This record gives sequence, structure tokens and C-alpha cells, in this order.
Amino acid sequence: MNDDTIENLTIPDPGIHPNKGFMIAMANSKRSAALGVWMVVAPLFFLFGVLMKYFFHVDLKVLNIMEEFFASMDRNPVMHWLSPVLFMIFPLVSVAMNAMAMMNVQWNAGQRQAVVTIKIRPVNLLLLLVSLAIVGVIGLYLITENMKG
Amino acid sequence: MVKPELFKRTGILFIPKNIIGWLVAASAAAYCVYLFIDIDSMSHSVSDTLMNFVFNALIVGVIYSIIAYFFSKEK
Repeated sequence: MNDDTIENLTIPDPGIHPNKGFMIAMANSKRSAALGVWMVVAPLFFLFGVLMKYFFHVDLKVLNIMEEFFASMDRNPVMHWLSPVLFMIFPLVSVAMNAMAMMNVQWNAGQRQAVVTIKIRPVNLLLLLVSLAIVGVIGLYLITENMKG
Repeated sequence: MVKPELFKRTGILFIPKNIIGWLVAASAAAYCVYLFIDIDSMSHSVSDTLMNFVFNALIVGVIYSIIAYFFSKEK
């Protein structure tokens, strides 16, 4: 009987063992994207107001509304942390969450080596870029405002 | 300690899954109604009411989503 059946074929070893060690998806991509949208929605509303007022000359009173809102929050000793959290901390958290959702870390204990791979997920990447843009714009605004005084 | 699954994610929304989740969602909705009535009593025009309400409702939505994120499970 011929022994050259498919079960008896020797499989070449490419030397890559993806399941050796363990691979950690650092965050769930869809949940992170969902929360990421909510994290940037307030700064986007503010930037929408700025865009409408200064580029299209349509004053929707968004800036006045936000100014009044944050002035009332600043007067409240319990809620005065809200504006920095909404405009800087949440976009930074969104950056971190969406970056983590795209990354996988594979730890090889034998070689004490961590291999970070980045999977391109368009939604997470878009949110990451939007969040970075918000952090950049608001950060620059804060720097220039503080330099003026 | 096992984390209870109170919400499930559908798109960017977190839908309540059990009675505690529904209580949280109902509280957020009730607070939004209160906000609308409060803002409407102080504003001078419809657009003033709506713009104020939308911004406040967004903040309520952010807080609700953060709570729901921590009490929903990854698939």
C-alpha cells in the first residue's frame, strides 16, 4: 500500500509560532469606539460653535451657552473640575482607549520580549485622530491664552 | 467579584439589559426632562432653549455612557 497519503506528509516549519506566549488585545475595539464618540462629543460641539461663528459668521450662541455653563460650574465648588475633564481629560482618554483597541501585545516569556502589533481599524483610527486634533487645538488655545496674560 | 452586566452595546448606544440598567437610563431621561423644563423657564427663545438643552443633554449622555461602559461585557 502506498504510504504517501496526505496524513503522512511532513509539514515544513516556518519558525513562526503565533500562539506561543500569549497575545493580549488591550481593549475591545467596538466598545472603545462607542465610548470614544461620547468622550469627544462635548469638545466637538464647542468646535462646531467656533467654526460656525468665525468661519461661516453664523452665531448659534454656542460659545455664550458654554461660557455661562462653565462659569456656573466654576462657581460651584463641587463641579469646578468639569471643564478640564470634558475638554482635556476625556479626549486624552479617548486617544488612549482607541490606541489600545488597535494594539495587540504578544509577550514572549522565554526571550523576555514584547511584540506590539497594530491592527488598522478605520473607526478607531478616525476617533484617535479626531481626539488628537481636539487635544491639539484646545491645548494650543490654552497655551496662547495663558501666554497673553 | 463578578461585575453585573447591566447594559449591552448597540452601535454607539448602550441599551439597558436588566432592571438596574433601566433604572439608570430612566434616571438620566428624567434628569433630561427636568433640565428641559428648567432651561425653558429661563430662556428667551426656542433656539436658546434647544441649544442650551442639547449641550446639557450631551453631558448627561457622556456620564450615562461612561457608567454603561463599565457595566457592559466585552464580546
